[in-house]
This record gives sequence, structure tokens and C-alpha cells, in this order.
Amino acid sequence: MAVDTSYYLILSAAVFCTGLFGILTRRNALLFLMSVELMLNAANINLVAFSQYYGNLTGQVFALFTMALAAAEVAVGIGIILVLYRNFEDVDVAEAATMRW
Amino acid sequence: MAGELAFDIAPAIVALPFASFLAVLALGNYMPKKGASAGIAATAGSLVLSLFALVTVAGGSTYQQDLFTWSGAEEVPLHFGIFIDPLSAMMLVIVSLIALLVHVFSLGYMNDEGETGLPRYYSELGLFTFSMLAFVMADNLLMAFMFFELVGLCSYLLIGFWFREDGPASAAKKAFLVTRFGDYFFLIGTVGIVATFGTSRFVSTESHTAFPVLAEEALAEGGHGVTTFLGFGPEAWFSIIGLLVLGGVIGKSAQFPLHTWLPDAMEGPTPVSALIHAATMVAAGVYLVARMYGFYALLPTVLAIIALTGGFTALFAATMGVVKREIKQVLAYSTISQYGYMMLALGGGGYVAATFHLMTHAFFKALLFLGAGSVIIAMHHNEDMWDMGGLKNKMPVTYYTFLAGSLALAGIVPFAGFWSKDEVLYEVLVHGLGSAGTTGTILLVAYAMGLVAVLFTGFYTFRMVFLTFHGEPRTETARDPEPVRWNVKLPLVVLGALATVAGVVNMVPVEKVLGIKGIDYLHQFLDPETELVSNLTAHHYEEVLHDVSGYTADATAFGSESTTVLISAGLSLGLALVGVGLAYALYGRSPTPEEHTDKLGGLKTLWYNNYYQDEYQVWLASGLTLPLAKLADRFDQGIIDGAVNGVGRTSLTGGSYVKRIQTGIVTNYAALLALGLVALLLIVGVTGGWFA
Amino acid sequence: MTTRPELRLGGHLAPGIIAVALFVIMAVVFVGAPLGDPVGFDDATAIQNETLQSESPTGDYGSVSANGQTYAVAYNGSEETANVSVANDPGVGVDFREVDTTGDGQSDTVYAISRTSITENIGYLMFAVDSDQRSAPGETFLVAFEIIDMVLVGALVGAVVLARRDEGGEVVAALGLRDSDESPGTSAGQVAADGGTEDGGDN
Repeated sequence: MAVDTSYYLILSAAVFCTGLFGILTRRNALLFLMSVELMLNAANINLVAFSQYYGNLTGQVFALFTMALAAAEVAVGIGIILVLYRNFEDVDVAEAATMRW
Repeated sequence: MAGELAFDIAPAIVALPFASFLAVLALGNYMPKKGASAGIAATAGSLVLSLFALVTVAGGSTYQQDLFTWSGAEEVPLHFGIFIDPLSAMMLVIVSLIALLVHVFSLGYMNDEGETGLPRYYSELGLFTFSMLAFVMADNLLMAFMFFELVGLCSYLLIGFWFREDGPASAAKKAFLVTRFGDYFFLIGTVGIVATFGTSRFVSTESHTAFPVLAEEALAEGGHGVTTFLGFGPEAWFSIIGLLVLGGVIGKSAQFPLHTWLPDAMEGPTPVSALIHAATMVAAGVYLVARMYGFYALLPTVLAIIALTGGFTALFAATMGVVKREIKQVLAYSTISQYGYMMLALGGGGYVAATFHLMTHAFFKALLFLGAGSVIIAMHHNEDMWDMGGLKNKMPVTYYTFLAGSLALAGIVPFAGFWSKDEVLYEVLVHGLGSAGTTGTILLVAYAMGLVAVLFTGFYTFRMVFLTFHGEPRTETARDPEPVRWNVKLPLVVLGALATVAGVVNMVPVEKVLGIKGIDYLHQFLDPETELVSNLTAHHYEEVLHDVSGYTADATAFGSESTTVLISAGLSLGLALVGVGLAYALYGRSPTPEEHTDKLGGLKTLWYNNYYQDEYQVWLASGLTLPLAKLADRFDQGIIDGAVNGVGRTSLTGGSYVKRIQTGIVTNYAALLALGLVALLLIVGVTGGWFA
Repeated sequence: MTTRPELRLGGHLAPGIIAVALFVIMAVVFVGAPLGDPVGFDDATAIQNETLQSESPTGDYGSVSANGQTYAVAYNGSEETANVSVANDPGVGVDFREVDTTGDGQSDTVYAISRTSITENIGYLMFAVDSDQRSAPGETFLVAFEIIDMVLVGALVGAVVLARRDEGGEVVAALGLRDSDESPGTSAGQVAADGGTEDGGDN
């Protein structure tokens, strides 16, 4: 009755590519953050899937860690977005291009 | 033991003027006489110590001491050391004596005339004296080179003492550059000697061998024990080194063709001229050749070149001295000429004669310059002899001492210059007659030039004397000259006495003709029988000259030895007298002499313009070197720098295009990353067969 | 007046092709990947084979299902003793539980049950309960947990620091007291309470 592992992987790939699509097409920093979350969770799906595939609990625990890291990442990301907004009066990532050459 | 004491305190001879230099530099304005007293005290102290050392050396001891090894303790030790032998002791006395008298004279010439910048003047004099004394004492060539350079620097400073005027500033620059040109070769020569022999010591010690000795051994053994370069055999290589060092000598001792700086150096204060010409700067070159004569004596080619250069310079400079209007110019050319004689003597195998002439010349040339200085004071700094005349009665002390100096310069018996110049010519003559082949011919040619120069010397010297002191005063200043004080007269009297009697230290003709043995004191003095300097004695040089260079003295070419001596002395004395008589006929007889040199026509113009030596040297600099340098500069700027700049510009331009992919927009970076990942996956997947 | 979200199509979506391409590639690879059946978590089997072994004193072991769970057990008849141990597997603790094997509503046997849940282990370790049953894998996980803890604290601090802002030359922190609020009505030149100014503006 176990689901074939490749379906998990395809699901994970779909989630990841959705996140990537968001990053590539959106300019709103908040949407960026959400997209990045999607990509992180795609990785989580993979971790859990392979945990089950190998019968090893480590993957699941690692998924937990990833969630914690994601929380931290969101905290930092929100902070960056706040600063971005304060400096540019906007959360458009394309605006913050002044530090290039 | 007294001898050791004299040597133990020998470093003080050098240290005293240096201390004076430092003290006057720092506190000159607060010192009595603006620092002159300190300088006088220091040089007097040096003189006393030098005399002490001289007496000790005369007693038969010599001294060599390493003071400080400053580099290469293992392989090639480079060190400072002092070396006192008869030659250097004699030179120390001369230098410190002249320096002392010049200091005293400067009281009259500078202080009494109300010059400004006197502390600078006296500190530079102190440094000058210090450098020369240290140069004289040096026991190795490298140390000698350093102080040689310092002497050059000091002469630059002093010639340019009145640096706010154009003339002195440019003369100082010229003196510096021209002598530097020669010193450049000297430096290479020094490096060559160190590289060849592993040492540059003049004198052998217990643990080290002097380089002339090494060279002698190497020549005897076919190049064993030395390193030659560029594929030359030892003889050719030594000659090259010798010529390189000689470059420095020619520059400093103002030999043709590097003599052009010296007449211009007259722009400096007259006491400085006296110091430069008599004892320090110019003497340094000749002293250096005498110092390493053991090396030059091995190289007949170089000796011939030295002799020819010296003889030619002696004649060449004497001709120019004939037409000059200014008293110091005449003296300047006579200096060049007299140093030509010394070089002639050295090249002709007359080591003692050259040293003797160096000594007597120091006395009478210092005397003449100080006398000229006295005249210049009296004439309110007008140096044109045609504005003088009739000063004989107004300033008798100056006149008689100047006359003594002039007689010595002209080589009239029994003044000092006669004995030394005669010996120079005699030595060259006998070596020329005795040596076979080319050497003899060259020496005879050089001798002939030296002999003709005697005629000119007598003429220009007494033209100067007659124009300056005899006849009617030609200007108002000359009718009412400014009086000079004791501080001018004292040095004149001391030097006048020395110029008159200094010849007695080496009356070789008298000894040979009358057969009185033992009155050639200088010969004996320079021929000590100490173990330490057994390779630095006159008779050793004579042996080397004979054995290695093929120099043979033949004193009996005209019959007996005394006949030769008489013929030689008579020739030079006769020519000198002819010159003097000619000068008298043209300038001394009439109270209002005419400018007879105008009758020389084109020759006068040629001589007055110094054979256009300056012009061609300026052309060499501006017409030849400058375009070359510009070419090199263009190569440097265009090709070397161009390549470097090109690389930089290419990177910059490339960078300015490539930087545009750095848009600063996160999305673009992410797109690039993702694109890279896709490409990577495709490549890995296709090669790894994932899509099979 | 549009209030609902709209799908905005256009050129800005072009980079998304890369994401789609990536998905296609990954999907193709995953579908074609020769993955076998997953092992899964068959607790009893694993523990029976790997942990209990024959170290039980009576040499009797096996698995049993009770209360909807499958336990790995080692048992020794009816004695309620602690001499059932799982010596060779440091990762597994042992519990004792009464189980009704006959279905008569009475517990009749005490089973030794190995604890297999790592999460549970971590909990024990974290509060230092049951310390004699602590085991190494649990400890390594605990270290990871603590690292995550640190990271989270760091992130929190970072967020707070980043959230500071400058307001009129004054730094306002997310956690600071806003004591910069000026106290009203005391500075010079302000309107006095009666409508005039302090320097007598009512004339």
C-alpha cells in the first residue's frame, strides 16, 4: 500500500519548481519569501520520502530541523524586507540595485 | 711607545674636522667668528696629529687597522680601515696644513667681507676636510671610493656656495656632473676589483693580501687565483679595471677630456678654490693612482695612457692659460696643467716624482690662490687682470709671496716647483730613453709635450704676475686697493716660505751631479723598510715596472748620469726662463702693456674658448645623449608602459562590458543560477544515461 | 473596483520557462529512476532481528500486537522481572507492559517492550528522565536539536536588530521603549494654555 517513492519525488519537484517559478517571475519580496519556503518544503518532502524509502528515521528528523531553519530564515528574511521597505519605500526587489557596479 | 700613540690617536685626525662640521652645522651662528674658530681649532689639531704621525712614520713604522667591517664578513669582507704609510702620512700633513691655512684665510676673505651663510661655509669646509682626510687614510678602494664621492659632494656644495647667483649654481652642477661621469667608471672599476680579487685592500695584512699583490701574483702565474670576466685574460682584464678606475681619476683630477668643470669651479669662493686645487678634490685623483700604484705598475698599456693623458693635458691646459683675462682662470688652467705633470710622472714611472710634485704643487698652488684671493679682496672682487696693475707697491706681502709661488709654478731654480717638475720630466725622460719599443716612444712623446708646456707655464705665470702687480694701475680700484689683514697675510707667508724651500726635501739633481749622497729625503721616506708595506715602496714599484711593464731607466743616454740630469734640468729651466722672458718682454717692460695675445688671432679665439671643449661636451649632452634618452623614453613610455597600460585598459574595458550582467536584480541572478542548474542536469543526465 | 486576484500574464513570466524546464527534466528523471520498493518501518521485524536477539534470559522473543500497536517483545513467562534487557542495542530503551493475551479482560503477561521512537528518546534525553536508558543516537539528535535552538535564537536576534530603524535621527528598536515621545506643552514658544503665547501674545 506504500506509495511509490517516485511520486513523492515528482511532487517534491513540482513544489520546488513552483517556488522557483515564483522567484523568477515575481518582484515582490514577500512573494519571494513564500517561494523560498515552498522550495525548502520541497526538500522536506524529499527527506521524508527517502526516510521512508530507506527505513531510516534520520530523514524525518532532518525534516524537522529544516522546518526550524525555515523559521529562522523567514525571521531574517522578514527583517531584510523591513529594511528594504524602509530604504526604498517599496518591497520590489528590482529597486534594490544600487550596490552593483 | 710613542709610535703607537701616534697611530692610536690617528682616527682623531679625521674625527676632528668631522666634529667641527657637526658643531658648526648645529651651532654655527652662536660660535665665535661664525664657526671659523671651531674649524681652525679642528684643522690645527689635525695638523698636529698628522705631523706626529708623519714623524712616527719617518721613524720607520707604519700602521694598518681595520676599524669596522660593515658587510660580508664571510665571503668578501667590506670594511673601513685606516692605513698610514709614508705616502698617506705626507698627504695628511698637506691636507690638514692647507685646510688650516684656508680656514685662517677665510677669516679675511669671508668674515671680513661680511658674507652671509658663514656657518654653512665653515661646516662644509669641515666636511670637505674630513672627507679628504678619510679618503687619504682609507686602506681599501671601496672606502676610498666612498670618501672620494663625499669629496665630490663637498666641492659641489662649496663651489655653489653663492647658490643664489646663476654662475656658481651652474658651475657647481657642472663640477658635480662631470666628475660624476668619471666616478661612474670608478664605481664599476671598484666593483670589478672586488669581484676579481675578492678584496680591495691597498695593503697586505697578516690575514689578507692586498689586491695589487694578488694581481702581481696572478700575472706571474698566468691568472691563477683571480676571477676574470667576459673572457679576458688576466692582463687585459686588469687593464680594463685599471682604466675604469682611471675614469674617476681623470674626472676628479681634471684631466683631458673631463677637465672642463675645473675652470668653472672658479665661481666658488677663492679659499675654496685653493683647497680644491691644492689639497683636496683635484689631488684626490692623483693620490688615488699613487695609492694603488702597485696595481698600475703592472699594466704598461694603462701606464702609457696615463702618461699620454698627463702630458697632453699639461700642454693643452697651459695653452689655454695663456690668453685668459681673469687671474683665477689662469690659475685654474695652471692647476689642470700641473696635475697633468703628476699624471705624466705616474705614467712615466716616476712615483716619487709625482708625489713630490703633488706636495710642492699643493704649497705653491694654495699660495697662488690665496694670493689671488688677497688681490681679489684688494680689487673689490674684480678678477680681471686688465683692471689691475701696479699692485706691487700697494701690497708687498702679497706680491712677494705670490712671486715666490709663481717662480715655483714656472719651475725656476731654486723654488720648490723647479725640483719637482724637473724630477717629473727627468723620470719620464730616462724611462722613455731606456724602455724599448712603443713604451719608450710614447713616453718620449709625452715628455716632449710636458717640456713644451714648461715654456707656456713660464709665460702665462709671469704674464699674470706682470699684469697684476707691475706697470701702472689701470683702474681706480687698482690705484687705491683695499688693505688686507693679518689673517690673509699669515697663510701667504707660511705658504710662501714653503713654496720657496720645500724643494730641499728631494734635491735629486744636486745629489746626482755633485755626488752628495743622502739628500733625496723624500725618496728615502717613500722607500721605508717595513714588513707591512714591502709592496708599497718606491723601489718595489721600480722593480715591478721593470719586470712586468718593461720600463727601464736609462740615465746614461747622454753620457754619464749627471750629464743627463743636467741636460734635463737645463732644458726645462731654460724653457721656463724663455717663457718668463717672453712674458717680461711683452708685459713687464712697458708700464702700460698691450693685449699682445690679440696678435694670436684665431688661435686666441680658440684658446680663449677652451678649444670649444664645453661646446662639444654640451653637444654630446644635448645633441646626442638627449635624443637618445628621448628615444629610450619613447620606448619606455610607448612600448613597456604601453604594454602594461594596454593590459590594464583591456581588463578595464572588458570589465566594463562584463559587469553589465551584474544587474543588481535578484531575479536575474536566480534565473542564471537556475539556467546553470538546468544545463548541468542536462549534461550530467545525458552523459550519465538518465534519460535512457 | 476589482477585488479578486487576477492572473497577470505577459513577458515577465518568460523566466519561469526555466522553472518549467527544470520540472520537466526532474520529472522525466524521477519517473525513469530505478527505485525499488521502499523499506518502510516494519518495527517488529526490525527490532526482533536487530535488538532483542537471544539475550533474553529465557530465549523467547517475538512480536505481539496489542492496543492497535505492534510491539517487539521479549518475555519470560509470567514473571514481572526486569531481567529482560536489550544489551546490544544502545539505541533502544525497554518498557514493561502488561498485555492481555487471552482476551478475557485481564492482563496476564508482562512483556518487555523496546522503545523505538527516536522522538520519544529525545524527549527523555532532553529532560534527563530515565537517564539510565539514555542512548547514543538520541544524544546526537539532541545535539542537532540544540544547534537548531541556537540558530533560531540567532535568527530572532537578527530579526530584532534588522528591524531597528532611524526615525528623525533617533534609533527606534523593535523591543525598545518609545521614550522619545516628547512630553507635551513644555517647550518654549508653544502656545500657552489660555490661547496666548508665553511672551504675551494677547495684546
